Amino acid sequence: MVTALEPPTLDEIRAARGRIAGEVLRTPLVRLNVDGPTEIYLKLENLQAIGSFKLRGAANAMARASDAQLAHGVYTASAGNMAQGVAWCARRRGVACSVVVPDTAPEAKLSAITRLGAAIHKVPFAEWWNVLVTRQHPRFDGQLFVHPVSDRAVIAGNGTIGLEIAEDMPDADAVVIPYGGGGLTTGIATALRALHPKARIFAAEPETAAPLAASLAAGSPQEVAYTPSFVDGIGSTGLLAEMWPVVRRLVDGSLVLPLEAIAAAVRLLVERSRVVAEGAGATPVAAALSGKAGTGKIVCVVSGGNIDSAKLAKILQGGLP
Amino acid sequence: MTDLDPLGPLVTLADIDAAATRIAGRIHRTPMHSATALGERVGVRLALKAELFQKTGSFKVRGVFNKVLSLSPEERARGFVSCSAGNHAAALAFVAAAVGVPATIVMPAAAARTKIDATRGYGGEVVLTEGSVLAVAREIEQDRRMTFVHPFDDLAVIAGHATLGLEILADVEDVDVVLVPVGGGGLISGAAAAIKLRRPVTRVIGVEPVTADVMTQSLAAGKPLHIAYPKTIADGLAAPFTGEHNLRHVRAFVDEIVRVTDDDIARALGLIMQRCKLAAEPSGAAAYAALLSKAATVPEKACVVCVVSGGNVDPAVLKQIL
Repeated sequence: MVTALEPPTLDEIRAARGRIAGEVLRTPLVRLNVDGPTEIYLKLENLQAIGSFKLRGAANAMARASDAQLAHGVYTASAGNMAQGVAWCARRRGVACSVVVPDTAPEAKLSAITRLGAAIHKVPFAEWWNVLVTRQHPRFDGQLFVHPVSDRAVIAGNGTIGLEIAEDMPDADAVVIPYGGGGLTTGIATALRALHPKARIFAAEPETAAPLAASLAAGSPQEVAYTPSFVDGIGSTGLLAEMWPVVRRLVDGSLVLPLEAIAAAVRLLVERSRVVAEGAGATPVAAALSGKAGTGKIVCVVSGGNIDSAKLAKILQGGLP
Repeated sequence: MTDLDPLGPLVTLADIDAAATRIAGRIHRTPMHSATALGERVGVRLALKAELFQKTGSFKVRGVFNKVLSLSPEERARGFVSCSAGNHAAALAFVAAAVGVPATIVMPAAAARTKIDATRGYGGEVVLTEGSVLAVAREIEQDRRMTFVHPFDDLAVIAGHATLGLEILADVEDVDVVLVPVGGGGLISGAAAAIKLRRPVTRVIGVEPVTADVMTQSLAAGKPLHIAYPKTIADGLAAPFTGEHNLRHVRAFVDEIVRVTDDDIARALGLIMQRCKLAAEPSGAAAYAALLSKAATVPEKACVVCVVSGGNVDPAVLKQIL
């Protein structure tokens, strides 16, 4: 039996905002220049220092910890953007940081982590997954663990994006959020449901890995087929069990996009908006362009920009990596 | 070309403040983007002025709006003509459409396809020539009695570009060094004027491609020169000439002009894309290229701003750099 995660309150999200203000960029909300009945706005989290929103959650979790808790160092279990978020915050504080990664993680991602001064600890995939479930690894006993997704402080940090959207676009008709583990969706949706209940809130997933859409359709958590793709920041075979009860009541649906549409959105963001987005970050934009998120003012959360250069080059050429 | 008249006019703070008021609401106030990782690489505290997010994707609308809104209603009504390889063309077409008059822009036949398309997309008429774009534009000015809007050698254009300098000072109060890419010299004329008139201790460094160094050569010659059509990856900086107003402003307000290679620019652009997620054009990466290549020497831990002047890049060029 899994206990549902208790999402943070609006007050906790507001407190997070004050805590992380000096460390995290208040990202711009800009209009995407396209014709049509839909006004698409981009919340550019790819412009954060580490190239993704993960800095917000990492910063809040670490700012809440006492000096004594941080004294022995911090660790996380992630091969991607959260590892960079925690490493970045640890380096700023002069705190040692370790990152547990599955031995399948690509070298490019690992080098980004070591560049920020964190130590890599490679383990078999099952052992890595176990760290996410149990929230601990014996090797790092006594150090602060920052969970990449289902942690109240991390989700409250993510929720600060929702506060900024509510301020910058109080009349948004819909907000579209990439769905990975559910931490970003839960944070933003919690803030928006409290401040701006009229906006529809959609998750967005690639069709090669869309467990939320399948689960919402079935009314219970589903396992789905998973095909690895360039959209590597989101998508999985299933949902984190503790997130499902929370997410199902926060979102109006999950929009599923083909890889071709996501690649086209990455290209459009470079050409029209002059920003580099990773596949996950471009998925909400693909959703808005497809019409699936409806018409009116649609805010797309461009969650990150950490895409492999060779893959980006392929996409700019009109191809699919 | 005649020798430069050193006593000719310079824009004043009053001109620049008036320009800021005139174009407010017409342009974006672009963000200052902190670039810690890129700064650490070269030992400075670095921020990027993200002017690639400006309307039409480059700083050019600042000067053009100020010029056009300073004209008499009669001059405006005649429509505009100019010459440009790209960003000024798009900006003029955009501004002309905004004030409801036609624009004709003479572009080199070899101009980037994307920039020709963008200019037409904003409603501009494009005339392509293998010859001197300036000469053809001046002919059209006479024949069709249109108003010529110079891409850089114009005091109102310079005052408009200067608003970018004011924004840098507002956002980074303790800035030690500002690096600005140099093509014809319009942007640096204005930005340097604003910065030096407001905060003289800030160093202003201009950056040119080694193969497109008309400003370096003109400074040495003491007069604005025409050079053979330059070839560089930074197409926005490939101006074959500079102007009297520009050379005078550079002499008065710029501390130094340095030069970078295409390889330096490509390396800088790759880093700006990978680390900052900004899809700049090569011209927009030139300022950071000067730090990376050490063409510009700045004190350790100095507070530095690089102007990322535009983002209108041919995807094929980006693909090569990545």
